[in-house]
Amino acid sequence: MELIIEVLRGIWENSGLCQLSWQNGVMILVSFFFLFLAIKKKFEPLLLVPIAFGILLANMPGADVMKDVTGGLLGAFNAEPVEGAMWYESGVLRLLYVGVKSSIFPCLIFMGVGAMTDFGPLLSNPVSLILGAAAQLGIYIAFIIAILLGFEPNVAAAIAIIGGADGPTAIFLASKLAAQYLAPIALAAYSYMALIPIIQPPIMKLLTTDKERKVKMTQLRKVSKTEKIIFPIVVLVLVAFILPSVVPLLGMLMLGNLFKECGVTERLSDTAQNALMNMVTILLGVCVGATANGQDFIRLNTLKIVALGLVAFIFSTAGGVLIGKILYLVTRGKINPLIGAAGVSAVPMAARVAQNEGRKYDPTNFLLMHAMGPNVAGVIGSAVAAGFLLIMFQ
Amino acid sequence: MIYRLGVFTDIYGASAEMTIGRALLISVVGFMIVFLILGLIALFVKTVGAVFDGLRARNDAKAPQALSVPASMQPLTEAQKLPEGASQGTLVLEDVSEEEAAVVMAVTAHKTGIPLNRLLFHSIKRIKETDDK
Repeated sequence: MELIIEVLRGIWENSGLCQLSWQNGVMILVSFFFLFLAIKKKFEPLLLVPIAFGILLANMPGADVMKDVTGGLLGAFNAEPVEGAMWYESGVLRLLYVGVKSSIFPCLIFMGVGAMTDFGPLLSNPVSLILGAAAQLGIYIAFIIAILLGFEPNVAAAIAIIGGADGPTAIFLASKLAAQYLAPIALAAYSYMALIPIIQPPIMKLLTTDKERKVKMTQLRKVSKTEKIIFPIVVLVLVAFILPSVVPLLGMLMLGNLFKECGVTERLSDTAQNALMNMVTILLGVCVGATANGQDFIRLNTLKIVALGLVAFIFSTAGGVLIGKILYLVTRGKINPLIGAAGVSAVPMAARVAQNEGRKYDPTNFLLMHAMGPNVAGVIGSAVAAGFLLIMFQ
Repeated sequence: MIYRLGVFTDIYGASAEMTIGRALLISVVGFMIVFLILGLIALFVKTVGAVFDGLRARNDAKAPQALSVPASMQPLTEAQKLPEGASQGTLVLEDVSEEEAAVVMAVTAHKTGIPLNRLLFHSIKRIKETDDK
């Protein structure tokens, strides 16, 4: 009888239920909520499902999927080295996390994004780039507020990049400047990207008049294939000469785009935008989610980061719309300021929001292609902003 | 607190603190750099676009006018244009523009599989949306 009780006690003490802390419990509930948002509400499901499942896996008590036996070589904080253990005995997600820590995954994602991006709308309307630059305003506003809140400069910079509305860029910068805050920064970035259709419209409405929202923009000029081939090469060289730190991200973006446009690498382009993109999205999503361990994640700073991310998104949207209003005046009503909001680089969601908002006020207005220009310009803009912050604080 | 960070440390020294003034300055410079770089790209795109448009126009001017444009495709003269709200033939448009009517007719032809020249439209009317569904 005594033996049976001992066995049962042993089973209980090794069970997940016995080891469950309240922080893990909260994070498990958070993962359920994210899964609900992704599956039921269809908020960025391709990203949110792997992220939510990563959170779930990392908070399973005793599973040790993010255990680092090397004492921190694989990116864990405050990890004690296990004597005699080899690096490959670490948790399976910890091993995969090296792809995040080394920036391999964000860069590969950028290559896929490049292969899926058509820079045509931007090339036919170069003023889009000004809107893409304006929509980075939130990054710098959030940086100042983060400093005021007492964050260290490198951490403030990593938090501020959430305002770029670009998940891979946020992960890239956070892993280099403030790896201990990677999880909340990545989660805030992706969560707000998913919530763009809710966050942006009130700001767009607040800052524009009825007349401005009804502006119909003229047809875009036809862009030749040669222009599309020259663009990624020259932009990379131009930006790299000024901000070399941005080359890993922008280089991969432009490489992917060159695959798409050059016309002789269809197979590579297809792989970059489909198979490779899907594989890396799964790995990146699960690994980022898995960094949200309850003990590290549930802190006051996480709440501050989430709040700062929202502030950054709001100001980025406002920056784009306000410069859009200036361009509306300068061009005597030829530019609809709503497309300025698409300057945040969440492609193509922000452009879709501009299109939907425009159609609310005039059902015959089609702003989508006009909004795609600032939208893809925003991808370049946020990468440039990240490069600047990296040079300043790394 | 003392930070040892990239260019920030190079400029302000190893013992520099991040004051709000410095944060503001860095933000302004950072924002300006984004504008500068994207502005340069815009300038490049504009220049390349102008060059290609010029080349295209030159090639178009050189190309022989092989085909004459049929009369049905010539732009309408002022006298030929219909008055606002009116339509050609017997088709009556009620609160619908000519462009919207063209789309409706094209969609109908596509969905039914009947060529447009075999379809006869009497009228196209906008249905008012109401709240009581």
